Amino acid sequence: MRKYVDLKVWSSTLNDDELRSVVQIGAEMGFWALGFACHPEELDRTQKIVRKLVSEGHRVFTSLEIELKDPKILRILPKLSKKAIFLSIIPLSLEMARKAVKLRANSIILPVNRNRLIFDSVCAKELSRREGTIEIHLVDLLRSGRRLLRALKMIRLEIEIARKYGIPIIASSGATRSAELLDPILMASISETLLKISREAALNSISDYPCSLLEKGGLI
Amino acid sequence: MRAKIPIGLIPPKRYVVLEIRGELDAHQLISIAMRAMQELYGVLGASELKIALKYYKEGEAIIETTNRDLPKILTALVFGLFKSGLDVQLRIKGVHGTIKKCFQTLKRQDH
Repeated sequence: MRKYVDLKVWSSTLNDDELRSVVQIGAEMGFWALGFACHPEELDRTQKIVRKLVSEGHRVFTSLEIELKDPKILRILPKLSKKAIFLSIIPLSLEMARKAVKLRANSIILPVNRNRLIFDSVCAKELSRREGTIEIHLVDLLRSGRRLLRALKMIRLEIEIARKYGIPIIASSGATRSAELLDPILMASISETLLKISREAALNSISDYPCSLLEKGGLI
Repeated sequence: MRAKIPIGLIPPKRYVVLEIRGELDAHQLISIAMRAMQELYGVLGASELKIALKYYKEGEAIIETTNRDLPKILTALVFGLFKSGLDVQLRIKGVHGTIKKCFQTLKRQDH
């Protein structure tokens, strides 16, 4: 039986009780583990909540997302890579993506709101060598409105490049509230339809790949 | 009189048991899904998809589609809901090959 994982549920806007209800809804939906996402400035608060929930017997972990706007951020990364967190980097340009793939991040996120390709075959070669992964936030795609067409055009091409180099594709919800949580079957369907990947790859993107990353990182 | 279609042209059916949490009934959900289908797949793509509401009562619905169209229909449902901006959550309770099994799923949950 597959173990479904949602790597990113945003925790910053939710209080403790709301987070507990998110965990409960996630378990009802069939998720094996949930990741509470945060930005670096909210890391301590999120880790505290996660520790509390883990002590209550829930299977949750901290998922940190860093926007790579300028190279200054690279300085804080070595400290973060020692912590027990799922580390994702969002490069906002191709130059930053080339730097990002060389870092010890668990995943590289392909952002939705942009005008240019940020992931090319040079990035893919390097990421494949370092056994990295590509991640996509499905809720961001669904909320993108008029930008969906352009976003899909770029993301689909980037996914094709990544798959050519054997890089695993991971899908996470990126939900900001409990109503945005998606059932595993909905996540797999959205991945299959919008990202143009096979059914098996879509299911792996929310189960086998994230699971193996969590086990490898000792997060669960 | 019902039109006869060669068996080879009928794809296997799938029935989806849905739970709709929020102020939206299944008829509104289907119309949202139809609009989303046209927007996502265009007229040509949407014309090949099958969606029909088979049952609805107190936030629980059964939708008929085909094995081939299932991912596209589910994507359209979620896409439509996100686009509408309504505070509604869609939960999939099960996907079955017969409507009888769907009712069994609903009955099991009631007990």
